[in-house]
Amino acid sequence: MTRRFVLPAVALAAVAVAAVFVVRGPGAPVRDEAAFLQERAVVLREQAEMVKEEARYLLLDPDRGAITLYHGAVPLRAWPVLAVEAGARRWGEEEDGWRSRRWDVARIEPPVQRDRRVLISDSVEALDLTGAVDWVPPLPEEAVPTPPSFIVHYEGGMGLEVVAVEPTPVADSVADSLAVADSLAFAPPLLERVEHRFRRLLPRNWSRYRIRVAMPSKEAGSLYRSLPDSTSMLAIIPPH
Amino acid sequence: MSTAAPAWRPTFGPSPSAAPVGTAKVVLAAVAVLMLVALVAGVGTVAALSFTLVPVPVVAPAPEAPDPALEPLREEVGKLEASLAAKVPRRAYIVIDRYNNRLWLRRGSEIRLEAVVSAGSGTILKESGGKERVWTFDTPPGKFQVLSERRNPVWTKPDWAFLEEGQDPPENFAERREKGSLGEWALDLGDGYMIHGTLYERLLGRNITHGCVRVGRDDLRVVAEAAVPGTPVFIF
Repeated sequence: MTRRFVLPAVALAAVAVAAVFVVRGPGAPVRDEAAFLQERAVVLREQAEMVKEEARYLLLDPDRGAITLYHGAVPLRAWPVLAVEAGARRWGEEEDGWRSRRWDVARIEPPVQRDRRVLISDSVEALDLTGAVDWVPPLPEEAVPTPPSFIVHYEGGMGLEVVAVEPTPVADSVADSLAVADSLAFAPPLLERVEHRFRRLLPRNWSRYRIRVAMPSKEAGSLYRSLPDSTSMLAIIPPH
Repeated sequence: MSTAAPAWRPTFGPSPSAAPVGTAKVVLAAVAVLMLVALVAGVGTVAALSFTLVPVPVVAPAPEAPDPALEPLREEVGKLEASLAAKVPRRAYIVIDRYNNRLWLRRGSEIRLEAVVSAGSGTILKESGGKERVWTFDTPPGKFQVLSERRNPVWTKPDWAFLEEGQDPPENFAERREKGSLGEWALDLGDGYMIHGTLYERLLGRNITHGCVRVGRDDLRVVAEAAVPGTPVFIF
């Protein structure tokens, strides 16, 4: 008799728990404060060194939701980030070898292609007196379109991969925005995922460590176009 | 008792006519096995060499009840952040993104103005005959400062400005002077590079200049108002 009620009761309880989880969502992740502060202190000390050198560098700070270009201590431009992932190659790499380090000597893949117009002085016709402009150059986004993703490779094996995503719907909470960014940025269709994984094995895309950042397409494009050569990188990513 | 040999004997192995079919089956099976092995090896290699990536929370909330034991660490981080923030210029500074054609007027971490501008076109001009000089019309990256600020500036046209229009540079200096083309203000950065106005506001946002940075009239007024000789200018 009792057994007849136990199973339905367990089933009902399971359904109730699942319903609560679905309604409330997974909840906002709470950071490990000690690890967060330690990592932040290490990177800020590194940043202080770069300020002394008046170096030009990117600082990825997921806690501030941005990647910022600095000249010494001076912030030049910040790009918003929607989602961040970090890690190492599954095989043969130190799991945390990429942490708390300054990454120098950058190379962008695919490289930015800029066409230059060449004029020879005696082949140029004099402008008419109205001063009309004879040539209208393309807009920056037309001249250098935004790739779906690009990787900034650093000496020592770090690859900062920037994934361009379309503008996200309005999210009500941090957890929602994470979920939205996650689903948009890091969960592309299966075929694309497989293709992406194979592309990562190409020598030009090879890196030992990887930080993936999703940002709105327009912002990703502007970072791609304007990131100066040999810009170093710091990232404040606490242990998981 | 003798037994007669049977008229029909079962044969083992393929008959001559069946031989190609059997070989084909073996070959097909071998190919299938090889493909399977290659697939498993390929997928295995990709899996083994792929990244183990862990999501990092973006703008994650701090714990509601701060741990008192972490106070010294929190203090150290606070001091480091304060010392870095103290190094950001308190006065106005200008930032120019030369490939996206944007200019920001900033003070500390505050953005006072964002403007659509025009920077260098990257065009190369080659002088044929004569001195065979070559000019590259890029806006140079780096840290600069406003050296001087001029209202209603007069442009002294360099040789390339004439060659580019299919004319010979004049001997007479007065013929090089041109009023109005630089707009209301010119902020000199050195080596002939300037932040100045333009007659062609419709072309703002495009890389079209000879290395200077052209700014629209209203935005230029704000920039000129805030800038003084010595104002830092960062171009990237």
